[in-house]
Amino acid sequence: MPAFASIESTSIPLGRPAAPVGVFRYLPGVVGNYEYLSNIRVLTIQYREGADAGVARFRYVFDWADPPTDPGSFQDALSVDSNLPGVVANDDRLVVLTFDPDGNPECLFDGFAQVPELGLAPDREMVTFVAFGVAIREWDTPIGGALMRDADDPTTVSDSETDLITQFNPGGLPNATPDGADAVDDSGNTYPTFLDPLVIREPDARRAWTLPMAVRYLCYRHNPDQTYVINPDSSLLDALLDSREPDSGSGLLPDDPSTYQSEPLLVPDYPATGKAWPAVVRDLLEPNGFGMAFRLDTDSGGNPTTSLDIFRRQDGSASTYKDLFLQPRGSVLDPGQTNLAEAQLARDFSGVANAFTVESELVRYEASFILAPGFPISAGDAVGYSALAAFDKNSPDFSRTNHDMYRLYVFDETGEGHWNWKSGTISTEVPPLDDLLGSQDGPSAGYVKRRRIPIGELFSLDPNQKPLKARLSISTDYNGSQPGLWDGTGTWQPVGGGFELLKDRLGIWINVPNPNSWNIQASKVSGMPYPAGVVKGVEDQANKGANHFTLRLTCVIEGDHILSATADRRPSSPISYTVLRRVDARDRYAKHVVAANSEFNSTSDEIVVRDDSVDALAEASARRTANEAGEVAGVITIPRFTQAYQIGDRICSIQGRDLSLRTNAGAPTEEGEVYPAVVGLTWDFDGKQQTLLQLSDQRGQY
Amino acid sequence: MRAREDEAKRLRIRDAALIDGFSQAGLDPTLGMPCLVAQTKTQSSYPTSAQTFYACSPLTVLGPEVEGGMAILTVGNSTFFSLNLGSAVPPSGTNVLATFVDNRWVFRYDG
Repeated sequence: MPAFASIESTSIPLGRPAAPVGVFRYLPGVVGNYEYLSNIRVLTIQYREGADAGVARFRYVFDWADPPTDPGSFQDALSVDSNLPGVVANDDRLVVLTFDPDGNPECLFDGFAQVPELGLAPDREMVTFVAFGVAIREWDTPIGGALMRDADDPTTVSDSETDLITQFNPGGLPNATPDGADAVDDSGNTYPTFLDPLVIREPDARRAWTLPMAVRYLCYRHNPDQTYVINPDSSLLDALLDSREPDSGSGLLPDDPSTYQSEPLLVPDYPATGKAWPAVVRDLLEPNGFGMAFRLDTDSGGNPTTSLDIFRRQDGSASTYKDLFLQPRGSVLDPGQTNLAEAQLARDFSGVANAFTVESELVRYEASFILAPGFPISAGDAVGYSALAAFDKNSPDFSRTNHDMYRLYVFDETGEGHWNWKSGTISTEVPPLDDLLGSQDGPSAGYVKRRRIPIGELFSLDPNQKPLKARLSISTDYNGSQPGLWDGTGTWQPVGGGFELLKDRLGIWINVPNPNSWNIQASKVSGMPYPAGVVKGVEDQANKGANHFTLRLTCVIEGDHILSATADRRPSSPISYTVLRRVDARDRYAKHVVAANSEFNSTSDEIVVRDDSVDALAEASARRTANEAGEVAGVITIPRFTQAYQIGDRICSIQGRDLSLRTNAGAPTEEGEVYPAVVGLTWDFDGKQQTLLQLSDQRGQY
Repeated sequence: MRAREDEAKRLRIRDAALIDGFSQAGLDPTLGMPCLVAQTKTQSSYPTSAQTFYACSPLTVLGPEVEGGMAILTVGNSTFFSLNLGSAVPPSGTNVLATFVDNRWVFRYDG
């Protein structure tokens, strides 16, 4: 016998009672903890993603029924010396509670009352005030001086309060304490502290601040007692705050570490003193695609607890996915299938940036350069006293036209003229830098002929691990090209003084009064060309029979390219064009090379002493992840109070209309899907209850 | 917002240039005129008149710095030429105090 059975759920009535919501004065420690304020109504509660404590607006309900308790008019409510129990004083801690069907309280808001306002009109008087979430207390005391570790014993956890600026990675220098020597807060959380960045030991004890290290310092150092805000767990921070570069040939699945390479994210040169720690956390997180929110919960005793939550904004990780519901047009309204009353949404791809280049400073090279005279040489310049006196600044016969004569020695990298010993003329031939900077004609790895300003601090270190200064040396038996890159030959005596580096081109200027009595300091090393330490700078160059000397300058110059750190467009980008953005990160990423021909390089190969390519690429990848998907932005109105949606929730679709809100359309099927997140949440209790969701992904801001 | 970023970038570039400029400033300073203890020597033909140039080798002076302590003089193997301003011819191997004036080394030996 044919049979038919169906199960039908009880339909949700079209009209339902409003959620019970009450305002209470929170008195922890007092019996019951709460004091109900019957004359206060909450109008709105608003939360936003980021360093936002949340805000609620309240209104007084004036009632003359109980004058000893409740205010009856605006003058009672606004009086600064009112002692009526129904008047909310400044900084009173208020909690908004609702109750579930079982009568259990749930906290909707917990904050401190401030800013009463009067709205007076012929037909009404209204006193409202706002309250800020308890996290606002974290703004009371901004970050002061840095907590620092003794430089002589960085591995011993003994830190001192200082008034030095709290600055992460100043000038790109690492200044965090070493691994395994973290400070500990009251709850057992560990965090690095600051170390003098100028002290370099062997092995180097300094660490560069990474994102999780900095966030741990900010939370655990500046909120150790967690009076109002519970800090995030340190292991969660370490696991979350990294850069994830998808493996080639596979999609990125954030919950599957085998599909990506995890790299640390370096913190930029960031001075934090004077700012509130949550604001600093936000500043560090946002550019790398992370979000934060203060979340309110209710503990088992019915008390409010606020915790700081940090999450990855846009990577398709398995987070809390939610849908909106709207029945097809013409259907019979069923509140169980429709929760969307109003919506203003825009699918915006104008801000998409799907490729990022992180700009380091220009790659720098330490090398030894052979200089040539930057002046014409004539045998007559050294004939007799009067000729020599013309070059002596202390002589009355000094000629101003000789300002650079026998003093200026240049590499002549732009062909402005140098003395050619072989031809006996001024030459404008530019010495090649190809062996140092790559082929001059190379489209991406070459160099342009431009002035190279010498940098006086070398990458090579002395035995105390301090950078050496630029060094000038002199030789009388060098037979290589002049000017040119040093070819490794010759007998060289260091010059002890009497010169300065040029400030506008590669070269030196002899600054002694008389270049013909240039004291370079005596040398006791056998075979040196000037053992007595005096160079006759005019005669030795001008006299045909003299041993002409050659100068070699070892210094640092800039190349013409930055280190390579570009995160290219991925298939998950919703647009087919590559939209590139460049991030200025000169303050923290660099590449330093000691060329093979540096007098301090004892090998035959160049030595890369610093290369931040991996870190820069990690940042480029993180920024691409944060910006490569489109944006669905707008406001959703749900015509009732609901706690089903929270800050950070992903909104996948509008069920009933088959509209996906996915923003990384085009990504491989095996790759995670990206949806817009709730970045703002407002509960409106003024009149009919409704919930407003602000949807947005991070807009490209570069 | 963009203007602020531009300004910040300009300031960073200036700051970096300033730091590089400071790194140039710490080079060794200009030195005064050198003066050293030297010993006359015969290079090929020792001079026979006083006011001529003599070949000299620099000496290193050491020894205990106590009253009556004996000096230890070590002769270097390099050579420079110094003018004798005095009236006598120093025997080869005479220790003199040489200083550099204007363009030449000089010493004075009057016997």
